[in-house]
Amino acid sequence: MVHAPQPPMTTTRSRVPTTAAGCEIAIVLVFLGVRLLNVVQLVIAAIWGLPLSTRPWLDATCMAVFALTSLYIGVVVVRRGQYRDWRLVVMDGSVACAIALLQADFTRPADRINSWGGWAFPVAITAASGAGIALRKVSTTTLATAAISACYLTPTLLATHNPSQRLTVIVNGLAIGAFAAVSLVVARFLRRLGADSDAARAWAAEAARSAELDRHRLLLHDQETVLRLLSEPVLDATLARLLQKQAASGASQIRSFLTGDGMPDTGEATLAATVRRAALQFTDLPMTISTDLADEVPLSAETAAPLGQAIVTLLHNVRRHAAATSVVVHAAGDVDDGWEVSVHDNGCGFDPATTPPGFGLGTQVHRALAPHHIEAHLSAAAGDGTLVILRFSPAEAA
Amino acid sequence: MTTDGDSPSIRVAAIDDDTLIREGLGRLTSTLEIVASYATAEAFLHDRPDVDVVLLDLNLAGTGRTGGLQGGAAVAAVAGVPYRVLIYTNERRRQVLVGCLAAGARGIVHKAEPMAALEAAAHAVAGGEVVITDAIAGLVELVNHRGQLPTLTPRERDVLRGRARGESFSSIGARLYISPKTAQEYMTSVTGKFGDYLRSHSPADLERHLGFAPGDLLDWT
Repeated sequence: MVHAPQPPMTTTRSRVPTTAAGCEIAIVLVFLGVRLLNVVQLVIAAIWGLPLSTRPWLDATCMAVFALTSLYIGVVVVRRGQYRDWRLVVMDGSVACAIALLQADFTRPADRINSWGGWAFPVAITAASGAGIALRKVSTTTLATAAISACYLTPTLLATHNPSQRLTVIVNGLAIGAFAAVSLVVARFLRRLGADSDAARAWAAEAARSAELDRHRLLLHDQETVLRLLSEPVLDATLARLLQKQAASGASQIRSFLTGDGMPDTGEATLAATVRRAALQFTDLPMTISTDLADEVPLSAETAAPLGQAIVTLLHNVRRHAAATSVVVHAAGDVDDGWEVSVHDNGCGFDPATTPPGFGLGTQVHRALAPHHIEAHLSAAAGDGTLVILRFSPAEAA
Repeated sequence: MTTDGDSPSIRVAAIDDDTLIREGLGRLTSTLEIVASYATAEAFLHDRPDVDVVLLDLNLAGTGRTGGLQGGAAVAAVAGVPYRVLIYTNERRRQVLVGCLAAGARGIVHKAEPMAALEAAAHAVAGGEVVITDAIAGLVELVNHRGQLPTLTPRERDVLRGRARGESFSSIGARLYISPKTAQEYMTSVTGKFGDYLRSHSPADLERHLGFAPGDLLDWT
């Protein structure tokens, strides 16, 4: 069994996966990292700020509530792997607002813009950042941030009379909004990145699945025709011999496919030799092979193999569907201007407008030749045969 | 070729070792009057019937007969009388078919072709035209590519190119914005010039121009 290649992805335990879910985890980790910094600051504030606090018990209680709230939010978002719950934002924002409002009660005026005494500011910043991360709309993020900022600014400004300190407080209030805005933008970008990454992987997986399906079809399409004809109860002896040869060749291809080995490289060929080699497998058809004008057109093995396969597929179609009394395989070209191969039959034809090309022509010919810069053109009409031209132009390939 | 459904019947003789062809051809066609049929070229040459076209099979050894006229020699003998010879054969080797044209045949039709194609070819040959197969059209293209048909016009080359790829006159006409009949007339001119070319060159020259091995044509003429 041949497996399609998997898209690259870092999924080791030590690394956050580069997926949408991984982006959520990364956002959570950044939020919790900042919040942990807050808590560490709180410990320092407890050591240095509490002795200076006007109401140490209130100060300590606020610290404890903030720490417990942070712990709860941390546990919830880690378990969920994301921070997108508005109720947690309300809880966190309410605590931040309460601390900001009460700060005037447990700090001296001189300490309210001091990080160790007036610790409501860093708490407000992380709460606003959390709102930017967790809330989906700009409007609700703005509302939450405005509330936190107002709760910080109002009591602090009222209790601060020094112009320099008031300016500092105003700047702090604006910084709360700025942190929320930056968090919102960065979180949105990361989430879009994650979603695009997932979509790209899904597309790549679908493309790989489709390519694998095509490989199976490419292998089996012509063999199906051979097997079907071989299963006919009455078979012309000449056709039977040709089919037996093609069945043996098909068996080799299937074996190469199953073992994962490529077909042998036949080296440099000519266009004429490639076309004749493919066409001579169908001598049961009333066929004319004209390759005189292609004798001196070199062809690499990489191009010869899919071209030969395409011609075989086209002639399988003629044998199976056309009921033609004349088939012409023609090749002509030169090194400078390129070349073309045409396969024409005067059989029943079809109307391309109402009968879309099947897998053989649609994929086995068009898609297999496209990487080699060979274009396939079809013209057909019901009752007036079918003409397929395979054309290579060096100018277009370059 | 100048044929259509209203063409008057023409007188035809058939030389074929296949009894079914000799006996059945007259019943299958409405525009060809099969006035005589022969199993050998010698019998035909003995009778020399008054006909417009002679249908000639290349392989006349089906009855186990050896030593008689067949292949290119039969073509040369019948065409030299003179008769307008239309080769009616399963033979697809190009050197054989070109050898027959060089020996004097005026046209070639494969037995796998529909009866209408045979009727059209017979009428065209009766009218003095040269009728060739797709395989020979490929050779004409090669001869032209090698500069041996310098009088071909650009339009004639376009039509030849289509015929060499097996395209019908209606398809060629649609592609070149001309009527199928006009396309046919261009091709008639091409085959006429090719016939002149065959008759005006030695077998050795033809072998060289057509990329055949030395002796390929002589073996059949």
